[in-house]
Amino acid sequence: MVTPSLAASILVFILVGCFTYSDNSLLFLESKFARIAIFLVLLFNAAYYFYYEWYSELDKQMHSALEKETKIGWFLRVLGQCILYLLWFLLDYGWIWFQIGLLGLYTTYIFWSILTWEIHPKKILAWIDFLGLLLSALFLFINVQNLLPKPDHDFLLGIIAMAYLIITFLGIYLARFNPFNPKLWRNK
Amino acid sequence: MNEPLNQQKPLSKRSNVIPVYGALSFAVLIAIVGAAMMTLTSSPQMKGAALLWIPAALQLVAGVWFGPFLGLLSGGLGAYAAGIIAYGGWGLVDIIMNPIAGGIANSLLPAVLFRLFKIDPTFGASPKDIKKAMFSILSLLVVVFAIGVLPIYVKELSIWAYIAAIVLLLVGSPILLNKLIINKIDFFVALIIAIISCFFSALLGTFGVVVSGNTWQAAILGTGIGWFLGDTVSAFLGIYALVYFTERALKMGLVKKYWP
Repeated sequence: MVTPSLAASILVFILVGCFTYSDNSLLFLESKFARIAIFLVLLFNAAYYFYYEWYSELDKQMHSALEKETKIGWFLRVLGQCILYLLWFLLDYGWIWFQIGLLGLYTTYIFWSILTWEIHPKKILAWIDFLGLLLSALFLFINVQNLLPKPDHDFLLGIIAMAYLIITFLGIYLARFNPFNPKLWRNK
Repeated sequence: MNEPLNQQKPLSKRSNVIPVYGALSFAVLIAIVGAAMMTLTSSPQMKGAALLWIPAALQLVAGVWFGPFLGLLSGGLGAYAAGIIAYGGWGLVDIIMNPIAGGIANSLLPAVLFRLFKIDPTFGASPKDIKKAMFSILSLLVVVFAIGVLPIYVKELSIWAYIAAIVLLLVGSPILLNKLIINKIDFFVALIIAIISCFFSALLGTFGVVVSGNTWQAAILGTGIGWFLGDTVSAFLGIYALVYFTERALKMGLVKKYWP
């Protein structure tokens, strides 16, 4: 079964998100569509993060591999979760800080993947992290350059939200870990 | 009378035609994959200017394996055929963007430079090691690129962002490649060759867009940058493919050894 701290983390993350959305903190975004798209970007990123955490905690192979993890790896995981939570506040500070935060989040994933390269049972997941990093860099670059006229921003944000959704699905598909497997819940 | 099997010469010595067959097969493969990429990832500014040009990997491999002449034919004709299949691109602009950029920059240039520096395409490494090296270097490049573009938006960062990007690149790469058993000098030179080739390819492609009636600025922003990034990622894949397949290609007689 999922640990209470992880379950609480997921809950708190969603609650903070709902509060941010209802508090009109996202009003600087041009349209309702943009606000929903950016809300989804955050949600998909969190889904990917928490799924991975869940997988690390419950999958036997992954769990035993992580016992060999170094201290730096542990700190990187803490840093990753801090950045994930910070994303809501960074969004309040402005667009660019949110994008830098996303890039920072995937950079911690990448460093962690490099650190655990030898012991990780599913190295393909590292490439999913790389895709996320690439997408975050592209997201930053497109915004910086303002390549598209304003009416097309919604369309672009929709595409970016979809791309993060695909990354989340790819990660879940390739990890092939079912957190709702009754056996996992019974063993604990 | 037929020679007994154990006394037969290796395939590579029996026939010089094998690399020609290989180059032809690569040309066909480049044409098929290239046509798909041109259809799916073409720049909105210019038909046929694919922003994710996966065949750059095949063009690099063709150049390194088959040499400058066959590599040029394979990479150039394959790209030209891809353009014709994808959008009927026969004209002058298509010739600049496909056989010239694809053949000369993506195939001929790596072929000549790999031979000039006598780079062992296997880098004396196992595919496992090279996969980790690729992952680390690609990730580092993405982060460096992102830091590099930050000053455009956050003006206060100005030169500090560039300094941070360069320091990260210079300090990060030796740390990331520290424990790998690999010929690091050859590997770095190969990466630089791949980047240079892709830069020239993107430059030629951008020139093609200018010839079609766009300004240099629009061509660089709309096509050049995407061309360079897409080709570089694919060329890095090509380097990985070299490590993985060169030994087998040598045994098949596809490659003539030019490195010590």
